[in-house]
Amino acid sequence: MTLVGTNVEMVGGRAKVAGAVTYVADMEFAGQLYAKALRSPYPHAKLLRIDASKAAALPGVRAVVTRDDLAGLNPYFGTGVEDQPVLVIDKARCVGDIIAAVAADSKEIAEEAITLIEADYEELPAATDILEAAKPGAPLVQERHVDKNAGGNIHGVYRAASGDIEQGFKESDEIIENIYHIPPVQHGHIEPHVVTALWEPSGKLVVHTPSQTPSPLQEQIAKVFQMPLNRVRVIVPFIGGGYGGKNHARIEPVVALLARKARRPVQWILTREEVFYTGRRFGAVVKIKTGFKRDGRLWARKVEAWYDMGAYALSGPANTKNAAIIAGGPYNIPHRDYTTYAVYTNLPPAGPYRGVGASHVCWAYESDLDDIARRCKLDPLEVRLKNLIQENDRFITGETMISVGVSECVKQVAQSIGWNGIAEQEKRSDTIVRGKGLAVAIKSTSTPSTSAASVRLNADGSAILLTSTSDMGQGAQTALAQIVADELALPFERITVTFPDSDITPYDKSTSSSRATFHMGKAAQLAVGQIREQLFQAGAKALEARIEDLELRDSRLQVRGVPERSLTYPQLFKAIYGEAAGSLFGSHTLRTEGGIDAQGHGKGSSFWFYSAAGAEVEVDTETGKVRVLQVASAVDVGKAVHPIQCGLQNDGSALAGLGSALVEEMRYDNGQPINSSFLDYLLPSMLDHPGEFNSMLVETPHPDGPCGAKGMGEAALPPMAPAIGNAIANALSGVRVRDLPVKPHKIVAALSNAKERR
Amino acid sequence: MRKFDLIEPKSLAEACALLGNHPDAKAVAGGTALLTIIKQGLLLPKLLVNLKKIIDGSAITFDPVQGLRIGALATINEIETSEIVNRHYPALAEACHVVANIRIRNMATIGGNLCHGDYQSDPPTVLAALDACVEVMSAANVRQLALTDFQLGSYETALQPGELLSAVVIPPLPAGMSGHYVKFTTGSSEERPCAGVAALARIDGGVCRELRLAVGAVSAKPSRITAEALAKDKILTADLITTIAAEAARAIDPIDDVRGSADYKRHLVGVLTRRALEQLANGKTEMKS
Repeated sequence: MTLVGTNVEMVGGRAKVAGAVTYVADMEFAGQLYAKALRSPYPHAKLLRIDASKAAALPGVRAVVTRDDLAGLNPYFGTGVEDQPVLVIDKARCVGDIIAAVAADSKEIAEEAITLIEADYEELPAATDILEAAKPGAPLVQERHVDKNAGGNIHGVYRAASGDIEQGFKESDEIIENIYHIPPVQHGHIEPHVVTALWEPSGKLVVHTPSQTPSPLQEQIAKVFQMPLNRVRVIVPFIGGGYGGKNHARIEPVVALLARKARRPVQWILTREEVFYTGRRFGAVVKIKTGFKRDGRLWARKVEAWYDMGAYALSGPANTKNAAIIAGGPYNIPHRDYTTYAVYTNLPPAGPYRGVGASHVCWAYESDLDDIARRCKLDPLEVRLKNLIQENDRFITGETMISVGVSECVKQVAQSIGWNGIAEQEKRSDTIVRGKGLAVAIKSTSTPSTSAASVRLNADGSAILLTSTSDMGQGAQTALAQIVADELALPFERITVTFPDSDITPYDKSTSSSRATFHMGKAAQLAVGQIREQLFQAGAKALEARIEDLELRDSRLQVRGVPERSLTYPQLFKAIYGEAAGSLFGSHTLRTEGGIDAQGHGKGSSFWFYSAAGAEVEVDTETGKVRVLQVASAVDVGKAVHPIQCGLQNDGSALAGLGSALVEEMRYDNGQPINSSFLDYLLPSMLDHPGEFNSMLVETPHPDGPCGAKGMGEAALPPMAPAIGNAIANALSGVRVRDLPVKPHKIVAALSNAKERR
Repeated sequence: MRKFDLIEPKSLAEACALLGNHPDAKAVAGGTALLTIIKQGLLLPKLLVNLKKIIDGSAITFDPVQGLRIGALATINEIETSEIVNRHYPALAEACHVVANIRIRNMATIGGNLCHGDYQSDPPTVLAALDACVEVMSAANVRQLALTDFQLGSYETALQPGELLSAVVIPPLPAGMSGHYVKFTTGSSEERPCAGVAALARIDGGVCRELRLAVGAVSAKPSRITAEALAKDKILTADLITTIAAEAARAIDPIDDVRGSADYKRHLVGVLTRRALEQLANGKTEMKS
């Protein structure tokens, strides 16, 4: 029996339900201090003077750090671009930028000390609007990191093209052109960012942090403190939710600096307001122009999208680059020209958020697709199926697409919501109307990338997978244990998957980009392969059989089909080492191939995500209120390693998509955040949850994935907002709101404008 | 959150004396509003007077002559689930039921709700329609004033230093008067209202004898709509309803906030009022936003 494909009990599930899991905030170290920071009140301001002497003199304060404490360090860090200072040096680039930090005996003392720090600023003009920030002459956020040729605050320009765009528009029967706005949103992970740092007497730094990227984080910290990797130990326990918000170094460097100065362990738990200053989804503006034939064939598409990275790049350039190749969606279009811009602004740093980069363009191209179907008087499902890429089609990157389940995904959601081929509205009364909508999405995973796994087999027939994959609720430890257990023909309970600990576990790029199952799962499989080789060699000798006649089955190595001629694990160890003791090791570093060049050509992704969503809504045309009656989502997972966990991830993604479709939006007034709390920024509640909710898993196996599995965690999110948006537009006879979130007042305004035009 | 001292008096009189002696002290009951404000650093009181240990501060009693008396320490959930309230003032139970979420309703008290003076709230609107009064006590005396006089503006009440709101008093409703409260949110269902409308009417043989109309969450305090008088002794015809609804939208002085623009709120009040009156005219018991 294989465990992959079954719903084994989630690792850590019982402990979580019982409240018995130790998160970083629960850890207490002897002599632990508590940190607090002074943050910039301005979106853009020169730091003229800082005097922390009064704070340092407050009883109970053990360390205060300011820019004066950065001597001897590499003061700037970053994932691709080293643009973020440990503490503000010359100027603050956003509200919430860290000016100074304090470590004290209690949180209260630290909080009081912060009020004693004197800082003088000179306010600078701020770039807070994406399109304004991208223009030449805009106030510069990062003078040293902008693309001088592009102008303004543009850090990078990324392109992908095929065919002849002008010719394509000429050949089109009709052309439509629209602009879409997508606001920043919050990840909403319940556990805030929290870090405990301590320096061992030997001078080694230990950092406990709920990080999705322990290995790159270790590298970044080591670089800041100019130490070799072995002197920086990053430990990650269970994470209380990440969704991209816990990628990259965030507050780790400053906590480490405080701990070094205080010579004591320092813990910093961010308040919710501070979490809003620490990460968010990119805001974006997407311009899209599409030429099409009257039979619904997409013929030419030009997309320009501006991504607002905020004050620091994090993975913004990489995410924006990846967005360029998917800017027009999973469609075969003969003539394409896509450009994306990564833009700095004086807003808090943005970064990955589930569906990174893909959700923004998906909102645009899927809204437009329904408009095109309406113009052609065709069924939007039919138009999608006519244009969607199929197995072995060539993508804009020039690569041949395999394991393409997108048509199947959209067919399944259509069936699930009772799609009947008619986009037109269903009237309940004069003011209550209903509509259904569909959308599809494509997304890449970070490519090329590296994941390493080590497996240690014990003589009793149990094993441990050493991995730096983080478990943040998605169930990575469970899925990886299933894969390893099957490779060794051991029961599930005989496999332990470690938490990331850089002293013990090998390198991994990240637990993000929905890459862990595919990359770490494959690396683990190949690592076990080395152990299997040793077992088979020893077994062949002991059983006097040929290696190819052997199989691992039910915790034994046996001659295929002859259980009488078999060895248990202790017997195998005895055969190898002379006694039933010792350890067998296997390890593998998986490096995926690919990447795209400046023209957008190459292999865009080691596997591609395909998904679809469907929704039915009820709209009150007088108040503009939308009620989501049902949603369905389908994701092509390759192979569902743990179907329930896959389904739950889909549900979570779809609900988050519902939130960004209808209610969620981080708002700023000239760079000042105005809803940085869960009092003013509300996530959808249970009352907003649709009555019917169906998440489906499509399995189109991928040859490179473990057991055919692909990543899937984020895939359900991008198509959810456009599916809801299309359902609303269909309820309103095509009247459409193009700015997310689709709030009631926007619907009222759109209806009123449409009436005036008539 | 900054440290503060906590004193736990056993009676309202003792609490009033403490507040009188410590002008900087703040009274706290459920804490759902005050603790949030303290956490945000907007208020840093050194002393909190905890009212939760006071016995008998949350009783809900009804007398056919005096009407309903709700102890200020009654939680929103206690009011929404009170048999007395549901029997005699179902609209109040409705308004309490839609406040935030069950976790908040289990903690927040009606006294705290009113003293907080947040205009983006549900109970004050329906209380305004019910002609509710509040009982305010100090060490020296007890005074009663109309809710609409108690709430002065956004986060502003008539409460003087050393005073506590001790009870909410609602006169008995005239026989046959019924109606509803409608909350409208523009975001999550748990969000504070963008607008709220309470409408009560006594309709006798098709003729409206009395109409009470209150609108909340759109301006600094809930307000009664004077156009309610137009309905007196009239049949609630479509025309009359349209007139009153338009008048309600005109009469309010809405403000922009994160939940909606002033223009949108005005539009909304017109729609919600019209619908509320239509429901009353049709004698329907169920109302939806």
